[in-house]
Amino acid sequence: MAAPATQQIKIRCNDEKEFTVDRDVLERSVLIKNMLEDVTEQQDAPIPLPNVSGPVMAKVLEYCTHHRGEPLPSADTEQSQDETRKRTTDISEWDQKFITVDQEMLFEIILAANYLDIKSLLDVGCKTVANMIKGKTPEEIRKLFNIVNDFTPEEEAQIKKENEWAEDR
Amino acid sequence: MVSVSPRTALIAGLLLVEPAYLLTSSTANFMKKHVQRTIAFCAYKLRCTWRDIWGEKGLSAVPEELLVDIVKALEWRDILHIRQTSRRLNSISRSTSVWRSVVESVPPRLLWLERPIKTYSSQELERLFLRRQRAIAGYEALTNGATPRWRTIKVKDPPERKTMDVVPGGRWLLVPNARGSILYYDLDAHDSPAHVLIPKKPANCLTKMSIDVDSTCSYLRFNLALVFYFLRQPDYRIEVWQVDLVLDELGQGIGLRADRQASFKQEPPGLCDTLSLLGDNLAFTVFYKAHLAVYTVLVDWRSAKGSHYSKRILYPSSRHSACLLPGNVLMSATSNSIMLVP
Repeated sequence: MAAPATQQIKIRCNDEKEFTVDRDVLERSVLIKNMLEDVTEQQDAPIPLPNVSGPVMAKVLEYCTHHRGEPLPSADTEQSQDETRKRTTDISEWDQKFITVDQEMLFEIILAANYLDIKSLLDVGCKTVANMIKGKTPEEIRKLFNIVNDFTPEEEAQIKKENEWAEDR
Repeated sequence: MVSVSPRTALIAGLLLVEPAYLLTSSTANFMKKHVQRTIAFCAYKLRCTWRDIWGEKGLSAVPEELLVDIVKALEWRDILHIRQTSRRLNSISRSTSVWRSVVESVPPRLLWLERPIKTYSSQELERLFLRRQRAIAGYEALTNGATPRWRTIKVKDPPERKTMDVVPGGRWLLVPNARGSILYYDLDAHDSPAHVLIPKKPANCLTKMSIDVDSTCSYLRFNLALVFYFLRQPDYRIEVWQVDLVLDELGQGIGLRADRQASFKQEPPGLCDTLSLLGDNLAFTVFYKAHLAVYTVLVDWRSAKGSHYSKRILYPSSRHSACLLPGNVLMSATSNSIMLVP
């Protein structure tokens, strides 16, 4: 369906915040792209996005606007993409700057990218979290993400013992 | 869209729990699950998410499949660290796709799998990978003066000429015995019992063997070249066997099986110093008494039969050894030079 690039689409977030965005920017989201393809006639009602809040959507749209026009990964290339993505935690400079946000926002962006199905943004988010974890001790990781240690002391000792050898370097 | 506060949803969820479950205290776990499921259902009906109800934020709000993606982007050591933080992350750090991606990140020649990776469980992949890392760590410690850890394997009827080899992957140890059969030992098994790979031949003695793994096969398959010296009538024979992994009904490798592919006379006769098998090519060096010289012989073993077959004999020179390299190159090393022969 060839739509004019200037077509404007309205979306509404779960906090009633509304955005009017160029269609090609919004189509970075596979979820919205599919929605728009399903709807044939022009609709004035905004698309409801009950899982995303206004501030998070603003961030996501900033990302989509920057990356507009780039080819979307298709289902076929997913496999090979997965290959190249392996263990490479490099993030482009712009993305790096973009994703430098507080932790709450970071996870909100990840969840939104997952919900909206924006693979590249999800990737950037996951890699950023991975980079935060790198080289930290279990205790440091717990502190960083407020993870509650729910092991029994015995379980914890057992798991620690199992992994002890990897620590001597 | 219906707008109901998350807390109302929670209460609605609790009200839906059947009172019968409340009576039995031992079903606490079951109940918890039931409550969760009910609330999830309400949440679905009311178009709000699980997150809205519990108010979960940060890492704990991230669903499992995304956590798996995050853990996949980690180095193995970080995976072992994150595993120690909580039960949830512990279980995620053990998922198959995590270890599949870790193992796939190692070049295949450095971590041999004897079956397609999809047939491996998460524990198996983790064990294989960490064993390799442990070996690397142990090796590094050795160079710093640490005492090596070792394990003794009893070899039945050890041969006089000490020749043995480990099949790439490190699981199968091939040892000939003095009676002329080739035994294999499963190093992954606790007691590593001996099994016969190739049965004994009348009065012979094995002098050399060479392994060539077929990496195009999804299950472990390798060719094994052997040089036998028959004591009765001084005679040298070369045999090539194809060895395959034997699977049990669950698809696990439990042993090896060998089929003979070729058998021919070693020409010229004499004690074989080195033997190198790669693809269709077999190279060996022989000390030929009659000429008091060492020959390097190159044979297409698949077409070799009896004692007359086409072969290339390379320059007789002082004692040297030969090794076939990929790309049809023969490396020939003497005491003072290395030659590459295309």
